[in-house]
Amino acid sequence: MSARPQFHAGYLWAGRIIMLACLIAVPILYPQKYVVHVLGLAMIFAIAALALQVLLGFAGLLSIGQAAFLGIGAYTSAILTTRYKLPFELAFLAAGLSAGIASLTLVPITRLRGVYLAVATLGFTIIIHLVLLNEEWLTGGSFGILNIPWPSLGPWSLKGETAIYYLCLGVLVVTFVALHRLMPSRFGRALQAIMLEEDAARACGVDLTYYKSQAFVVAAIITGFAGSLFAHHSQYLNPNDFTFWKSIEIVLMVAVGGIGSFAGAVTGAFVVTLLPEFLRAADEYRMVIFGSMLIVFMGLGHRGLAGLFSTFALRVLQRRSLAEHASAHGLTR
Amino acid sequence: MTALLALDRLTRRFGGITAVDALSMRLEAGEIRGLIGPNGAGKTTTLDLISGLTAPTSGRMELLQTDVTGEPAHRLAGRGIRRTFQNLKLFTELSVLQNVMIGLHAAGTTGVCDAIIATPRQRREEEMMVQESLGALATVGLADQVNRPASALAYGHRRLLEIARAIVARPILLLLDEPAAGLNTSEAETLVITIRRINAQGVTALLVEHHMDVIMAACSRITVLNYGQKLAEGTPGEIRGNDSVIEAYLGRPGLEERISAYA
Repeated sequence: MSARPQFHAGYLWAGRIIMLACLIAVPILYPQKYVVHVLGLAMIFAIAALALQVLLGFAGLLSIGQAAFLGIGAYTSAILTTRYKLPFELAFLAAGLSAGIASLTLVPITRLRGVYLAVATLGFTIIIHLVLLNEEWLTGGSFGILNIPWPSLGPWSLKGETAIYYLCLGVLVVTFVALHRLMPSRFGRALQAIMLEEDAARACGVDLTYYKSQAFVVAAIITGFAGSLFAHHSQYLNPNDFTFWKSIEIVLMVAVGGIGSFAGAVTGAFVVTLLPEFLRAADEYRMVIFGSMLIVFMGLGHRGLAGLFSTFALRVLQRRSLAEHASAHGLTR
Repeated sequence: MTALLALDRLTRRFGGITAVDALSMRLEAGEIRGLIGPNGAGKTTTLDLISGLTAPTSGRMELLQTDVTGEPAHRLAGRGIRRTFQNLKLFTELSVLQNVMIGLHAAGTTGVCDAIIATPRQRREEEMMVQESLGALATVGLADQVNRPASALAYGHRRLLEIARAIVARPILLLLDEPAAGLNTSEAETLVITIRRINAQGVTALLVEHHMDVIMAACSRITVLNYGQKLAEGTPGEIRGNDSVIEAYLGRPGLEERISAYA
């Protein structure tokens, strides 16, 4: 495997700030309820995709179980705010916590490798879906949960699509920054060591089970937060929002966006969430389109849209710096 | 002298094959021990056992008079047993510096929350890890390659990076699995000097190697394995003159005559 293309950090941050500015501007420039709603949803899935990126892109763990944590977070938040009338802030924290605790049940399967691990996480999604569907006393069964309140932050009630849009954006930005700090740390290096050379990681003192489990817990907590936002964003929950198809969609987001890149995961989440909205007419072909995209991107070497973009941008920059170099040379002569 | 490491009838079976067969061996603190033997003699399995990557089937292992039999690799690494790999196991996508910093994993304590909040403790630890890693890279002579990806290094430099990653945490026992494989003569000579320099800093070394000149130049004592068992042990001079060693390496004396008699 070759090293990832490297940018000057300045360019990266400039790009991210432009993206952020665009996201801040959208509800002001296009104050249409529908646009704001769908973009809010895309950001919620971007948070879930960031969480999976920790597992897939940094620890090399393919989880097809992320919808389960999304569902646990969503239902926890919904039940606490509707039935027990708890404030949103508490329910939001509880959503992350409950998803994190649920992920501890996956500790025994962290010993599994590759495909076996993926299949085990798939089983987890199916089980959680069945629980959501059948434990009617808790989850409302196939009727789901209705009238989930808008979120609130302290004295402010975040009513309406625009308010929750900015809440999702805020959580997305915090998650993005947190993960960017996390990956170049002792924890992040340990995960990458496990992904790249398990034996060498062990010989360096990395406890595989502990770090793989911790990666699952971190990813589950973040996904649980995303689930809470999802519940209050749709204001209605149904078990069928959390089938294994949703898990696969989250994997798609990361794969299309680019395995190993956080910006890629966010981009992938936007593409996978928004594309069907643009292709309303061709809705049945949605999965066909994603499938083909996936095959093309995997064929191009698993860096997805982020990989394509960085290769392209690096080439442009290189050409420009060459040109500058040449012209500077010409001037001195 | 007290033994740094004592193996007592350490055995490892893989199915019907006994890779290491009741191996008893004592490493004195401060020595450079050579471990040699024909292909398949169990040298790498011995290193896997000592570093904990493979658990022994039976037998006992003591590190500084503490029973550490069957402890997993990460815990033994924390106790100061570090190793390199014969077929290079670098974290190729990461930079040279990051590779070495992972070697300091057990020396650190910070976790997820420290990193996200960027606590002063976290920043101090990162700074310590960078400094220690730069030191280790200087020891092996890779100080000018720090920010390159490990995959961009020349073969000889990758071998040195493995060593830097193993010594950065100041181990008490360093296991080197064929560090000179694929190196040319001058690179191998530099390697011997590097190993001696590391040893002079108080690191006991166990060196598996096929290059006899490296073994003879670097080691104070040599252990010879054959079919997973200890065949001989002694100074380089004693080993060179040992009949059973010559037999294991070169075959039974007179074998060629007997073969030619049948021809």
